[in-house]
Amino acid sequence: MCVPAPFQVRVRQTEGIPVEKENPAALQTLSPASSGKSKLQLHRIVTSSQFIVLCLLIIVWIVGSITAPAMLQRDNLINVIRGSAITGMFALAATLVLLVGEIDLSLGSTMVFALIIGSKLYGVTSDIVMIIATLVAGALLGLFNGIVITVFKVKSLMATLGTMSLFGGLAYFLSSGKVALFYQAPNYLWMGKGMILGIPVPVVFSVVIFVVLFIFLHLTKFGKEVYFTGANPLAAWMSGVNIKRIKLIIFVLAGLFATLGGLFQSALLNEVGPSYGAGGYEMTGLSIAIFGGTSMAGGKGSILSTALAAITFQLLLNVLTLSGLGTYMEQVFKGLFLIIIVISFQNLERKRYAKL
Amino acid sequence: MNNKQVKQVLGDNMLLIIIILLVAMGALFTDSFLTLYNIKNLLYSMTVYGFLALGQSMVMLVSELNLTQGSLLSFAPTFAMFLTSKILGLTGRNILVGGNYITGGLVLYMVLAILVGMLVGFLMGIIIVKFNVSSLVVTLGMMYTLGGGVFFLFNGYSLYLNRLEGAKWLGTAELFSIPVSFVLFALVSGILIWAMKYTKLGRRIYATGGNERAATYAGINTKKWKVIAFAISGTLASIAGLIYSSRVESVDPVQGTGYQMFALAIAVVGGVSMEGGRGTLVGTLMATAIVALIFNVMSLFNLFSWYQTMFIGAIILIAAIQQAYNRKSLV
Amino acid sequence: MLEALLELKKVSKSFPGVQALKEVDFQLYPGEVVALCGANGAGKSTAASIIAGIYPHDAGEILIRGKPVQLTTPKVAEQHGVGIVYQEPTLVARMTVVENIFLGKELTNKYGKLDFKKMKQEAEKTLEALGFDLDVNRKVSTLTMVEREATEIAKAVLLNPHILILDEVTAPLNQKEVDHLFEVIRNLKKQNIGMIFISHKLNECIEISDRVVVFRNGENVAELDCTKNITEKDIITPMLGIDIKGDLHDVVKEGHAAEEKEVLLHVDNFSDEENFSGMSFTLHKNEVLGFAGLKGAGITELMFALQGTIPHTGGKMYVHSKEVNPRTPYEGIKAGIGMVTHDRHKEGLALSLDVKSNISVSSLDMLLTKLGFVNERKLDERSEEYVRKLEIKTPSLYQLVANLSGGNQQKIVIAKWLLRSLDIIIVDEPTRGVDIKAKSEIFKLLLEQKAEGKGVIAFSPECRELLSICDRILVVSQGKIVDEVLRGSPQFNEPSLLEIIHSA
Repeated sequence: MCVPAPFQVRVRQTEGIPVEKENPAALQTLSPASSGKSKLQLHRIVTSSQFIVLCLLIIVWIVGSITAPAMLQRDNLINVIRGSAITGMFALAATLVLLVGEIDLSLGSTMVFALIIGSKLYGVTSDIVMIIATLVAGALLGLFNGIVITVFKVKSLMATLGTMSLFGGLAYFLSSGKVALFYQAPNYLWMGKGMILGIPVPVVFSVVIFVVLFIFLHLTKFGKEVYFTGANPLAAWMSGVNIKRIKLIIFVLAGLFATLGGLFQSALLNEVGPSYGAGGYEMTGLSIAIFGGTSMAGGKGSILSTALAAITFQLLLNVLTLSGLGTYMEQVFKGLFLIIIVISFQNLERKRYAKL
Repeated sequence: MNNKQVKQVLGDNMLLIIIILLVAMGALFTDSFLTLYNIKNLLYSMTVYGFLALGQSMVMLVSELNLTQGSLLSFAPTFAMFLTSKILGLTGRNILVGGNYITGGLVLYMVLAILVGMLVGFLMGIIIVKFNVSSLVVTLGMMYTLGGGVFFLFNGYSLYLNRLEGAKWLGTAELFSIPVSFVLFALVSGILIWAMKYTKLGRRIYATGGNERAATYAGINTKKWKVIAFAISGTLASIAGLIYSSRVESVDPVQGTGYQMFALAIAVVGGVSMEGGRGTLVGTLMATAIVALIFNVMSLFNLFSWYQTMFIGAIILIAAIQQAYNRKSLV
Repeated sequence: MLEALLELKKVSKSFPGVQALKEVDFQLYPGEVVALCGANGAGKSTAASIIAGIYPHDAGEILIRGKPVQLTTPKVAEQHGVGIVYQEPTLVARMTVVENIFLGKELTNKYGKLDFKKMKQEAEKTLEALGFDLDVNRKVSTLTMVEREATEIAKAVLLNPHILILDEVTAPLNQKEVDHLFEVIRNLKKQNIGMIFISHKLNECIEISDRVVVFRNGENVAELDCTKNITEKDIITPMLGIDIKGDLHDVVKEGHAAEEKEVLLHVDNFSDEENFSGMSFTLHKNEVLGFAGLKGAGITELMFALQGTIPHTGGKMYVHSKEVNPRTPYEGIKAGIGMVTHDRHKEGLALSLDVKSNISVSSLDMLLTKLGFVNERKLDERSEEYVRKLEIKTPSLYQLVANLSGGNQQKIVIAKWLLRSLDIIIVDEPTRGVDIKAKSEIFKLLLEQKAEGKGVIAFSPECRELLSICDRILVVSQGKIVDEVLRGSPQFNEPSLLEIIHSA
């Protein structure tokens, strides 16, 4: 063994440092660098992708209120905003993983397996313990993913395809294929159906989480290292960034947030069953993240855009449902949405996509 | 033979050795393993998984992924039946009788199913190369699209073929006690393997997957060959769907759910790498036998189907870890 | 008067934002080797690509043997007798030599079945004619660099081209291998093939070619006749468009006697399993220590091991007399060692991020506020400080690094380490892919660091670079240090150094 493969190759052949084209822009302004502006550089954070999503949100709102006036009813809007919080959790998980240049296809299976684990405590312990256990399970499953990817160095695509099947099957195994019902768990159900000051609980939780994560990603060392790791993991490592730790944390968070989203959903429905992982949550999360401008190559994306994209998506879905989109067609819509989003937003530069 | 040589021989023939071990274990630990009935079951499941795995291997060899295999298993026959009933309906003939029994249009249905599979594969390929997008994501989206669409066609009801004459021939007929479907599988695999080794098809596919840039510079139209790989995988999936439906004498909207994972796992176990340009169809065939054997034994022990899913997930992880270990990368 | 094999008449080509070729005239005659020289971005590769049919030209005429042609695709160019060996390898590693040679041009019998026997024969014949002895059934992944180049050349000459373009083919080769390659080129000359030899190594251009054509900013600015004893300066002057005063490589004015200097780094019996062993040396403050040797001698691995990127299995390292054992780059950085690797795109920079992010990434823990957040204001200040100090040409701190020139990108990598105030800086091929102007700036930079009390370890395959900035040079061969040459000693010049390197 000894010299790891990339370095062996390196010494023996010339890498293509691509032929240089002198960039006219770079040469013209030989002035010394100008400094950044405001303290938080807000203008860096508000990017063009947010603008696009915002415009689309407004368009959907306008078109929706004309074609489906029922959309504007208070109860409906509450449902929409609550639904955005739920899908938003999956989109957040997907965004975080994409930011470090990885992908997590196991979000749906992780969620359902964690929920089933928690459901085993129904009637055995208090429902608050149930909630905590479910979330801890989700985080641990995310940790499992993280370990396979960082310690065993498996590409995240393969790893999460594997855990997608494994966790999905385990969910069936643990529940013996049966649906678990929770009518007697008031705190648990409150997580989905409750309100705080008139705002649905999932929304309150989501907003808090999004804000906290926003602060972490833009103001801390951790956040900056996340972006750098996604942009070029090898260079990040060689610059002293602990990419193992960063990726592990990200996958734990992804598992945690996906599970939280699933928790909100199952609380709303009073039940959870092993088949609930197959609804395409990971796919929807991925499409919303990309819609919000997150790049699959890593290192590019914003929490704010993802949040806006989640709301836009949910509103769009709502308008379609009110206009007569059946249950089956909903899945067709979600699948087509992903394809269209990817075509529009993710034209690949193949060189950067070795992992996919 | 010294130690190193023994290791070498073992390594080269690993898959074959595993097959032999599995057969031995099956024969020893259950009494129904070696029965004619069970062997036919085994061959039949090898056929269905095998078609899917071959298709997936072709796509993986050009460094892409196709996650629509499973949903095509239900979509191709269902959509074909949908079209058949509409077309024949135009001529005034109603083949869909009360309670969802199909009474006619067999040949048209079969031809259309294969065309549908080919077209879906072709479409996937075109989208992926024309827009230069990730095949993982596109086929993931298409998987859910087809999965939802298939329910939409007949409102989620299964279609029953037992009143359709000749419908069960493909899935149950036998030639000297060997299932016809397996013979078909052997024939198709044989042709494909021959073409990959002895014609330009193989060179093009391996070059496209092995080093796309080099292939392009050599004048190879890599986009064309990727589309071809996808079209082949779609066609094979629809054939598998026809066989499946014929055997169970029905067309269910949920048949084949999750099968793309099996196909992927089989390809990976068989040595096909997701990075492209690496692996052989022969390896895939042997891996098909291995997985089919394991599933067969599982069913003899009356294990539920979710054991299969768990097992496949574990296999993918183990194979992936092994590949990663061999790659020895730094980060 | 011989008819020109290939002639470009007022050929122009532009890409979005840049005019790559401006009304270029160029001729190539049978049996001659024309070197094509120019700084990065001058248009050499563009011209080569157009001749090879990779993209079409916008204006002007291309004539082959006097007849105007439209080289729209590589296949068309092939049909007109153009062969090209690309700068970046175009081999499929998992295929065999014969499969690669015949890639895209496989021979079949009349039923469409591949004719393996015939292809093997042809491949062997071609390689033999070139003077290479190679088992054509070997997988390319098992070949050495020279064997891969041989395969690429065989691939290019398979269809008997009249015009052969060789783009940077000597870059990965050592001197002996280059000599062998030049033999091959001379053989091809005898067959009346006209060759275009593109290279950054001016001495090689002078050695092998009959004429040197110099491009600058997309224009053909000079043609030199090699039979008339030209020197590198004759080529560099038109390349840069300015007159270089004195020898480019005499950057260091005064020499340094061997004074008693403080020891920064002491390495004792350092080794790893495969690539180097028994390395013992010392790096002092205010010193530039050079390593000279062939590629594959183990120098790059040694440097990675010093910084902690790859593990070492034996020996000890002492920084400021304290023992350190870096097993990851982070630990190396903590010990005060930073490395500028030879592939900054892969290992040194995040191209999709901006200047500020790249400069600051290794120093974030030093720039925190009391609450643990990143102190953006300080980050801005320090980043600006180094951009100014290193004269990095960028319109702002937020310019994406991908848009900067190679020289500026390299400076950013160096700035990254300087921001962290590391004492020891290792540079591996510091001026790779950097144009001539920036090269001297980087040399100046390294010498400034030395003057400020840092220690620099440098490796470059070009002896002249080492000779111009180092105080001492250690010659490494096959993983061991074989000699030490001090500045001021009679051996401190290129010929002697080369002799030591090649005779070890």
